[in-house]
Amino acid sequence: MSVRCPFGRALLAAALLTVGIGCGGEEPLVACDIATRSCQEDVYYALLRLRGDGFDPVAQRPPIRTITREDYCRAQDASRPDVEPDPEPDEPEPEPEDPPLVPWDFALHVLGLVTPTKTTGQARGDELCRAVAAFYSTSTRSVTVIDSGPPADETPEERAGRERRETALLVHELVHALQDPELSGAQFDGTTDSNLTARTLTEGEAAFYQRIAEREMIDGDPEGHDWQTYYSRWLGEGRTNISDNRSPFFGVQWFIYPLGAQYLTDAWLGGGNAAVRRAYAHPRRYTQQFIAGYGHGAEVLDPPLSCPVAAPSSSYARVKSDRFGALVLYGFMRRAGVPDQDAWPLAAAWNDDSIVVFFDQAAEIAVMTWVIRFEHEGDPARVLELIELTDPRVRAQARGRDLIFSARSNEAATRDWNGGLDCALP
Amino acid sequence: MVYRFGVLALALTCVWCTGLARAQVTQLDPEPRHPVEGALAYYGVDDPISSLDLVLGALAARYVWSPRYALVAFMGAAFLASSPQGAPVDHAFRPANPELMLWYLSPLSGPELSVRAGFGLAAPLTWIERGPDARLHRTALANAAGLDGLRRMWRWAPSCTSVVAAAEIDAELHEVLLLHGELWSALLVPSHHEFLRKRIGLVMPVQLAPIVRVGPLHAGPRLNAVLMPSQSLDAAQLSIEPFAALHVGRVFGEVAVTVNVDEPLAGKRGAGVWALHLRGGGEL
Repeated sequence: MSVRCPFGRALLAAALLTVGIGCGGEEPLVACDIATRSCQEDVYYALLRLRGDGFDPVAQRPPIRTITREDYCRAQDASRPDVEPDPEPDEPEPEPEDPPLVPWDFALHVLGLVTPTKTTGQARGDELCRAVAAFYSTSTRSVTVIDSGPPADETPEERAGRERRETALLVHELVHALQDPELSGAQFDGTTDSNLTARTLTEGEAAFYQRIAEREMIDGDPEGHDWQTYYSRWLGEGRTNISDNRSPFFGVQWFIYPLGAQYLTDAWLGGGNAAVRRAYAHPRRYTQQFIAGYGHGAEVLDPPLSCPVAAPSSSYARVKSDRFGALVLYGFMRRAGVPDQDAWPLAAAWNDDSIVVFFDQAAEIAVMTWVIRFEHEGDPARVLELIELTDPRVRAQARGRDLIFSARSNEAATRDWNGGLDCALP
Repeated sequence: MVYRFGVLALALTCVWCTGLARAQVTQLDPEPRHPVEGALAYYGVDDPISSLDLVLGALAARYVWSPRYALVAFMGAAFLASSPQGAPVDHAFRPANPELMLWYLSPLSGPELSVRAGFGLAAPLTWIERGPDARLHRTALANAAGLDGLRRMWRWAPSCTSVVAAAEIDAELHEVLLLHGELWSALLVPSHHEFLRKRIGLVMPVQLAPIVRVGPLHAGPRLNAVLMPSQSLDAAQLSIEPFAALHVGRVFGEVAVTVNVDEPLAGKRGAGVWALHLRGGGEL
């Protein structure tokens, strides 16, 4: 007995001591210089703690490099063989001389979704060059931060703010590094809508943890922040600006950040990291679900559009079909002059859509039909009432819950084509 | 739901532990017996709005081939429950990488000393399935590796084949004081789709355990250091595992707590991973 009791007490004391030692630190993230290794490690640890999935001993912290914005834009240009790097970005863009007709570009241009003086690839590249602040490369599994450089007369307060933003931005990119071995692409069915939906979740998660980290650096209390007001302002900013975007087809990609981050913030506030994991386990399928919010808006794909649109004649080949989804529909409406207070709920009433492009290669004639199904009978007529179509080649017609846009590059040669009206609901 | 899950894991482990007897399987006994050992480990994180529960079940068995050689096999599984407040629980199940090792008992060994070396492979059975469940899989496997302070992390490494070598020593220093020491090493070779995409990893766990023996009771701390020269974030993990075991006849039962001491699993920036272990075993 005299042996066992002291031993037992010692064992208990040792156990309590070691439990005390082993408790995890809740060291809040502090803004730092992301070019340094110690800062990169702090940020990585903070992200592992915030995400709550544990330390994966097999995974490696990805390498992180910094490049200037000029280098990044130059690399963007170099990756597009059809475009010469533009040494004077402020010069007016030259009009292409008698460009060959690209059917998909025709469809996007005629609907006002992409600036007509640019190819789709150019518009995308310009958007990336302007907007991207950092990125994660799945091929090299590395993070690149684009350094726009500190302003010449930066005050200490401004510097602190910049470092905080850069630290949070690194959190964002490291989320993508963690997502890399997790994503399957199974959600992506080849359509624009599924692409945007999948990216709303992944970019939304990155933007969400970026903001949580930023709040932690500011006041250490992410839970107590007024996120509703924050996201309302953030989203409102984009909703105001989108009407001026010359390529809303790409411009609406901006929305995946606030929409996804808001969705996951709401989940996190209600059910912690387990709810964020659940958002992945039961992913949303359409951008409409992010626009409409929880339990509101239309029952999507009810009924789905399944009608095959007929080609004008047998000489036409179907070269492209797509589902744009509610987010692109919103961008289209805003570009076509529909006020935000109407465009947002109309986009939330999206049920389904289908765009088909046919091309007669010999005659070089392209035609396209875009059918949009809404939740209510009155929605298509309301859209027609509000939009201002600038391209005379586009025709629009409302039929029941469907709104049909059609366009042809040669009016005379396709006079008998009904523009896909047979696809609409009676 | 979480409790049903735990009970299921417990029941499975009990089935595995049928026929418990005395020795732990890696401690070669000159006697030609075939021990079986089962283990159950638990880790949980609770906050007011969500919880995470992880239960590991493991089974190890030794087939004594001759007084000098034995084969030791390991198999395990991880059960994860991720529970957001007010929503259904999400589950994940991941098998461990099965491990097979050949052990050799050195002629230096005697009644008060056991020196042995082992060599083997862990097959790449477990993986993270890309898609909706990937985060749950990763959470299960990443935390499973940490429940013993990363000591046998290759058993939970997704898409990895591991080549394992080990040396162990057990010495009776005094009637009441035993000493266990071990040095293992494992090369983690990325497999499946990760082959040529990831670097080969190296892990070297070291353990020193002074054990007090009072009658049937064995107790002491296991002091662990896991060296990971290929890990870019932190190259070492320290942990302590206080344990108490009861040996009755050919059966033993043990309770232990793994406490990770420093980063990456604990310390200022780590998540503070710990684990409660129940182990039992015996000779058939």
